[in-house]
Amino acid sequence: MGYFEYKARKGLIKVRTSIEKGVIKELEISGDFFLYPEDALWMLREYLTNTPIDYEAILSKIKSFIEKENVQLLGSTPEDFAKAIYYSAVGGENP
Amino acid sequence: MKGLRVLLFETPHDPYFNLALEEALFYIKSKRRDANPVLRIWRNYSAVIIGYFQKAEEEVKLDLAENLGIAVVRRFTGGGAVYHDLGNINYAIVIDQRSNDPLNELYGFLIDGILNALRKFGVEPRVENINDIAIGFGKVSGVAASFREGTLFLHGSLLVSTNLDVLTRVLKISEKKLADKKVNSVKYRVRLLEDILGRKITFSEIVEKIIRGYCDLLNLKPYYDMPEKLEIEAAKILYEEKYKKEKWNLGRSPSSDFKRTYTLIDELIIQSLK
Repeated sequence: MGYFEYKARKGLIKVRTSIEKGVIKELEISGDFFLYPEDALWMLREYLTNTPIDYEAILSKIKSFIEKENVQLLGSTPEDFAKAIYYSAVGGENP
Repeated sequence: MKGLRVLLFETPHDPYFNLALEEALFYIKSKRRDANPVLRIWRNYSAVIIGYFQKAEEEVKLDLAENLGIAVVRRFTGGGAVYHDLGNINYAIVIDQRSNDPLNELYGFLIDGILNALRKFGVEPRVENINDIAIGFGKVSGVAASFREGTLFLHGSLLVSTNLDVLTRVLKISEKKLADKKVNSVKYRVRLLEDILGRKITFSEIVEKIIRGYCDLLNLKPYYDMPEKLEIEAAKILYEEKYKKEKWNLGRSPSSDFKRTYTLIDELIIQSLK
């Protein structure tokens, strides 16, 4: 289980991941950020399951999720979330 | 009659009901677009309120909270954990969305009601980093907001005379967050309004200023009211089915996992129209 905290302009993004054969198997994102509509956060988990541990792959999935589900972030960016998830998956080294 | 409907209804010794009523007022208003905007001002006796996306054990010293009789309750809006005692005043505004940019309306406009209220004390508050309200070097208030079906909801907590020792002890503050703020304790970045003014503030004084702050902003006249039967009944459902549940407060389940809650409220609304 990897864990990483990433500080966005507004809010701390805390991520736990478990990895199997180079892909994300389980993912939990918590923190004091703002994301709308709120319940979309739980859908992101499904979107990212089986994504390879690759920053660009994670970022592009987050971006397509945001577009498809009409998600709005307040004080954070898709890159912030992608970094938090990526560093959690690779074992939590600081970017 | 058009006006700002002011509710001072509160259940300080039952923070679960206080939080359930917040969501009930928002949900019911979103189903009744013709209803007047609502301003609610209320308090909790002793509770930690965590943000929708937070994990309770990451934000709160749960053993200490239990020993001190501090309830831990999740709210339905994002943002960070706050400590509520009677020295902390909560305000909530529920109003129709007017533009096609709800986030800007919430954090760029509705937040100004509390700034107006604070200015009436002769201080100069400012918004910092989206949702914090600071005076001088310290944060006195923070807001969080949501929107649904053309309805906006914004609530906030204002530190008037809260016990900051308890606040500091019961909340866990992340090292990364502290590094960012360049301080070593949450206590040194939050400030009490009474300390800033150097005098005591009564509850009625702060209530009056918050009401005037929002009336000035919205150009509406206030009238005092009580929650309607439908609102209370909806709050009771949210209380029993969601806000009293460990699954909601300590687990990490989205509102969509509480489908029965909303089915029951929707049935209640349909009955009330008959």
